[in-house]
Amino acid sequence: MKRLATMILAAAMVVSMAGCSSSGSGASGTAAAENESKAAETGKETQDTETQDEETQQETLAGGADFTGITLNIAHSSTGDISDAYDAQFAAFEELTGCRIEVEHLASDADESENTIQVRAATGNLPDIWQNSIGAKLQNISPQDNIYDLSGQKWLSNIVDSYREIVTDNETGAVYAVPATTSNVAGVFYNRNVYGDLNLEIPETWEAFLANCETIRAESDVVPCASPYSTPSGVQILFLAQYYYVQNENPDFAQQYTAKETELHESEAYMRGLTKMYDIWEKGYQCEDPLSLSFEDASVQLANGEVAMLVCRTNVMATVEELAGEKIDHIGFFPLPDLDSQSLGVATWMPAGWVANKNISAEKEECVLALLEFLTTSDAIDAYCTKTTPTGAFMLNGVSLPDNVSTAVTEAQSWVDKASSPVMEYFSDIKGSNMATILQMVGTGDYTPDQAVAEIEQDNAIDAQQKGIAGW
Amino acid sequence: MNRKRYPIWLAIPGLLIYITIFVIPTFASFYFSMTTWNLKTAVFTGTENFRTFFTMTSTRAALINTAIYAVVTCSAKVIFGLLIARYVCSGIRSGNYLKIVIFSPTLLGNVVIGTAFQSVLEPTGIVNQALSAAGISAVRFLTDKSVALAACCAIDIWKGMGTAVIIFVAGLSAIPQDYYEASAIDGATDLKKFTKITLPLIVPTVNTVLTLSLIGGLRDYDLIYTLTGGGPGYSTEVIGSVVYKLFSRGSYGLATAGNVILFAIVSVIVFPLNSFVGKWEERL
Amino acid sequence: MVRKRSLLSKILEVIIVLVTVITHWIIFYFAIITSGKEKADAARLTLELPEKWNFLENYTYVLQYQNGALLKAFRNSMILTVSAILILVLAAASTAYLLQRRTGTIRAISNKLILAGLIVPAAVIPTYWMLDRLHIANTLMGLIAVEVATLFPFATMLYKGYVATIPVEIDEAAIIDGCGPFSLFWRVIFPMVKPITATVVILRSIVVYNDFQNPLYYMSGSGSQTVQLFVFSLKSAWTTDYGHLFAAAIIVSMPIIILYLFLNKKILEGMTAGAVKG
Repeated sequence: MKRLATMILAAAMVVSMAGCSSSGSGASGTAAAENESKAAETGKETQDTETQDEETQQETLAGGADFTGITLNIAHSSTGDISDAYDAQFAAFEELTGCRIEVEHLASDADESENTIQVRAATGNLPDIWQNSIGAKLQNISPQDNIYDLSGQKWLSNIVDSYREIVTDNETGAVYAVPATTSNVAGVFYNRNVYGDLNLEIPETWEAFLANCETIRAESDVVPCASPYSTPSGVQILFLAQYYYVQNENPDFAQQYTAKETELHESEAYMRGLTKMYDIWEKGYQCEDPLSLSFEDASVQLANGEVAMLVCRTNVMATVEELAGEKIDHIGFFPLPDLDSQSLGVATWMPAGWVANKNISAEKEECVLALLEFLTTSDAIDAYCTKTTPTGAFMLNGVSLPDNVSTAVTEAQSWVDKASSPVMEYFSDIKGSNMATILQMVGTGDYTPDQAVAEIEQDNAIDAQQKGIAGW
Repeated sequence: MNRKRYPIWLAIPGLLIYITIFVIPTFASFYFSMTTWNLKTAVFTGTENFRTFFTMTSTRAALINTAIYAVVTCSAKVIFGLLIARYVCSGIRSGNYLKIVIFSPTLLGNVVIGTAFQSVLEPTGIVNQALSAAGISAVRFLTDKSVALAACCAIDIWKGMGTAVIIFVAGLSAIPQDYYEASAIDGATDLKKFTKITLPLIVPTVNTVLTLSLIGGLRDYDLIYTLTGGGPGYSTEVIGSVVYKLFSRGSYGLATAGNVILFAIVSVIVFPLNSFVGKWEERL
Repeated sequence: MVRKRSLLSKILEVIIVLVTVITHWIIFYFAIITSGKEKADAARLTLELPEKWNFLENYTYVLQYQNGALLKAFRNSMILTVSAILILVLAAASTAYLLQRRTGTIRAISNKLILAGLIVPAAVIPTYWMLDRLHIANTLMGLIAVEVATLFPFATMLYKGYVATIPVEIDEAAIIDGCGPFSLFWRVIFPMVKPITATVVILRSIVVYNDFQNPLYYMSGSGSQTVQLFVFSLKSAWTTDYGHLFAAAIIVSMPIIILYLFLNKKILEGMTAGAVKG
């Protein structure tokens, strides 16, 4: 029943968009930077006037619009299973509509791929659709000039409110993105067998965590903490996950920091994040050569019980499923512990969003919108799930996680409603070019937390100045 | 007469590409290095970027590393390149084989070389397997601060040696044989022949190799970038990689300032050092 | 050089040849053997033969990966290399010839600019800005222009050095025979500088095909990747998938290796022909 409703809705949308583009194409090309509310209004008007067309054409288009001959160009930086899952979704859409989709793979390093998009935005070379970080990072590419405003699209109600809020421009009401993949929850993934064999309790404070590490080291050959610091993303997770406690201590921390009203070292919770990394190194709870340990190796070692714990995001479970699927239920989850058991909580990452090029050519426009809509439907999610088991929430209404998700993911997900916060990057985009390097040095004992924070502050200040943020 | 026979338009296509794509951006970079710039609007900030660039911890490390990297790789290529070329040209049977084999790494892209050496030098890779067979404990070649830069230098020398050797071989074979024959009649030893005949006549070639590999050592970063990404810590950071990382974060003005500084360093070192370019010009 | 060689020097030669096996052959052997292993086997990073010969599977996987993205990258790299080298040879040879023969201020200024270009590093982001101005940013054409501009000074110097050895009398004779300025260059001078052309074509093809820095800056993320960028992206995507990674690395390196095996004698001939004598 629901599916039928979606399809009718889709058909209606497609028709109304067809009207939009044919009647508005002359103006839309040149008036690209026109103000958003006005655009939204005219959009509504057009929809109203096209209702008649809609009725007459509904029969021919209800079975799915035909976009044969149109080629969309889509860029993203995901790899592995997620990339395969996207391909499955695109294939399903191609099947449905006859268009062709060409995928470009951006660098998998986040800074690099974001910069690529930024450079291409500045030089007018954006793809038709691309995967963009959301939250504060959305501002980097001047969305009002570059990203298609989706406000007024009926299917936006498919997206859960919390996601829609962070992709909406508060001033103009413009909506920029639809969720591309699943959310991520960061915390400690542990091997249940190791914990069982050594009769360990789930730690609720950082001290208890360290005590567990000590027991593991003393009573077994298992490495207490995997620390896959070989990549820029691997080395930052523990530190970023700490943000739940930072905002718990001061809910406006990110905003105040961006406005230069507070300093990083003034937040005790922020400092504890660095201290935790330093502790694990100082007390020797990590593997011998963290800088050459890859994320994949660490997740396999965790599944095999060669390491007891791994601070990571839920997407690690997709890797475990791929590389050591039979052991997936050996892994459990608990939040990164901090001061006391009362304050436990998790940091989350919202899924990156698909965004469309604002200056898209008229003939592609309806196809792009149809695809974005398709990606918010359960058909698209079904296609996604043929390639990988989701490791977080899709942020879509009426789409629940399938039954086969791993227990660690379910445990992690249960914390989202209880106590969670998105990580700092959603609220502040100040980040120096050497963040990963500095954290590597904390994690391998070259910098104490105090030295590290001094350098992070200096490095961030340069980034803020270069971005021209007021007050820096 | 001269003008009619050699009309300037024959040189225009080449000069046009060169001037638009190389010369103008080079001059433009002096301006952009003094701005904060997002590719669309540039706000003039004077010498601020240069001051900022020198306050960065990564820059300080990078300056030292760049100097070490350039000097070590360049001198190794000149000295060993000449010795190997001399040996290869000494009429040995395996001369051709050696030339081909030593040149072979030059054929590979830096990404391929980076990938191969990363796995060969892993803590469990074949080099460490060999070391442990010899009773030596494993070395973390690319993740130990004290050896990573040395490992990068060694790999660059391995890669660049082929070009140096080939240039030297060309230089050596241009030395007329009768010089050696004459000195043989005089009863000169091999060592004497090398110091009295080969060395003086090979000086221009030495200059070529020296300049080329010094410039390469100062400004190239892609091999290092694919091997270590500048790490661990800042231990293999070079100016080129600092500039690239700033570019990745969207700090285009600051990155351009870094480039101008690199430009200044290369010019200050290389221009005085390479009298050969001047001589070359005079002769033409 | 004819001279009697002692036993000692013969033993030394054998040792040196054996050393090259360790320093140069093993890594090629390792790459080839790893490219035929299954994932777990490859992850052991040994020199042993594959447990199961997986060459066909690995190579087909790589070639089919992302709907044949590697083949597309190949096509781009080929277009890039061939066009850049073609333009470079023609532009550098004609400019060098003219600057060598002419006198006057244009020549003097051009010479200085070209000499400077041998030494100073390219201004990366302003170059991007310029490409954008010309509407060729993130296109193969833009990258071709950058490669030509980067290699132009060195190639021009090589040609100039060689043109200087061609007597002006030859020009005069050709003009008496009725040659115009263009056919003088194209029919008389250009064929005579063939050794330099051969050197430039071979050595610079390797450089352009293997270039990583320029595509990284000027092409990254655009639809037309080059093979080097492609391997780099695989490197982060397949961090532990050595079988596939090395299969890709070997496929990508093949064209240049084959080119070299056929033409390695020419490289030396070209260089000896007066190119880099100084």
